[in-house]
Amino acid sequence: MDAGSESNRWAPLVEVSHLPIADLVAGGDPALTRSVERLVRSLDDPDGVISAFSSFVQ
Amino acid sequence: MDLKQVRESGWRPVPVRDVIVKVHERCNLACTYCYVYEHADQSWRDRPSVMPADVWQATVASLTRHVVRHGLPAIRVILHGGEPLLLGAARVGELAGDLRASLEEHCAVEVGMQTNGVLLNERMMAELRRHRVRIGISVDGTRADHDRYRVTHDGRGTFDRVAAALRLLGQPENRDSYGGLLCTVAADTDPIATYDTLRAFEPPSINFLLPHANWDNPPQRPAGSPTPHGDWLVAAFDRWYADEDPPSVQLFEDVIVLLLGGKGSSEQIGLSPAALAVIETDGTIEQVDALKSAYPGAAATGLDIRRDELDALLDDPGVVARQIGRIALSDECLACPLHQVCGGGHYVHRYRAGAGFRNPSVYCDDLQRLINHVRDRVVADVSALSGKARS
Repeated sequence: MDAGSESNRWAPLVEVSHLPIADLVAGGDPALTRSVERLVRSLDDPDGVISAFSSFVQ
Repeated sequence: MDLKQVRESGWRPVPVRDVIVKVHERCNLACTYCYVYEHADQSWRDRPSVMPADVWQATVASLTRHVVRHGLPAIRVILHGGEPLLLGAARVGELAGDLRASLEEHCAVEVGMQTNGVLLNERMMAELRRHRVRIGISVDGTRADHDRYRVTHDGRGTFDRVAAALRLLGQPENRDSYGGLLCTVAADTDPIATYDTLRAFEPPSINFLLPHANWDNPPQRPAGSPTPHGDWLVAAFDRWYADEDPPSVQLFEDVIVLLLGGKGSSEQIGLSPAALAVIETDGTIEQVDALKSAYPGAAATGLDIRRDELDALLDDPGVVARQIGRIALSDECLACPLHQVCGGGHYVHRYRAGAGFRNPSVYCDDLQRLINHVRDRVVADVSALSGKARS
């Protein structure tokens, strides 16, 4: 969802489809990098289930 | 909620994957905000202090049938309370051993423990390490802040004892057991000092929790800002985001992952299904016990682990509401584009007597503040990366 598209309606999601994943992982701040890595790993878990114990979240 | 209609719409329940087992119902502390002892539900008074052997055995047997029935690749069991370390080192070791002996031939087993840390000594640590139990410890920031809220029954602070436990966990031989830190946010504290204090304990992860509150019992808000909790989290986020080697902070990472189109992993944010069950010391199967902050019996299901299978939980309307995603949200939430990220916030924070849980969060404005801020930072970073990619 592009932040500036269509009717300029604000959209919460950040558009990253134009960037290779590798660039997102290698080039961002450590916190952003970790989040992208988590996003990629979550592709393995389509349910994306909540964990009751944050230490279990990889 | 019309469960039949929900099922006919195509929704299928997600089997329980996280089981919180209340192995001890009492606690050696009297934290001022505790949802077990200090909120509306007082059911702990009528429950056994310690989970009896027959309930424990029924729990292990039930979990085993559950993982086999569903072919689960993994299950997470969190030993909880009250304070689970009140059981003593030997008994805690036995419980962890029982779980692995019964479950590991069928799936990966992650055993965790959430503790106040006050009783974590070397003997206990060795036992937990031997049984590969990951330990989460609750710390509420600086000594002064922590000791305002996390006190013994006679009002004494506990920071120094918790810090000793954390130094133990931080030793190289114990690092694999070090799950992380849980910090309940107090909006009148210094978020930078809080983050720095927690960071100094070198945790692999930190989770910041908004204190449990709802529309009938709103959070204490210091004067001066309409979004004090949001402001606090924004300041802590900025500190974390600038950290060159940051620990994982689940709430902040969840916001970023959700902004990038992924799924959240915690109850505080996002629309991921909650596949959680709580087994109380008396064998009752309940929903996540933070619900006790809403009204007495809010977490109750009428089920018992000695009699009912875990799947029976998936017919409970309260459990279903936490698995069906945006369908459970209020019209007000659905009209706001941010719901794609916040997911309405923590289910428990939406409660209002007479209206149930189909409301925005009592922290709605704070969540907006945080999400908008994180989005701005991520957009800026992505733009910078785009510039590099083009050049």
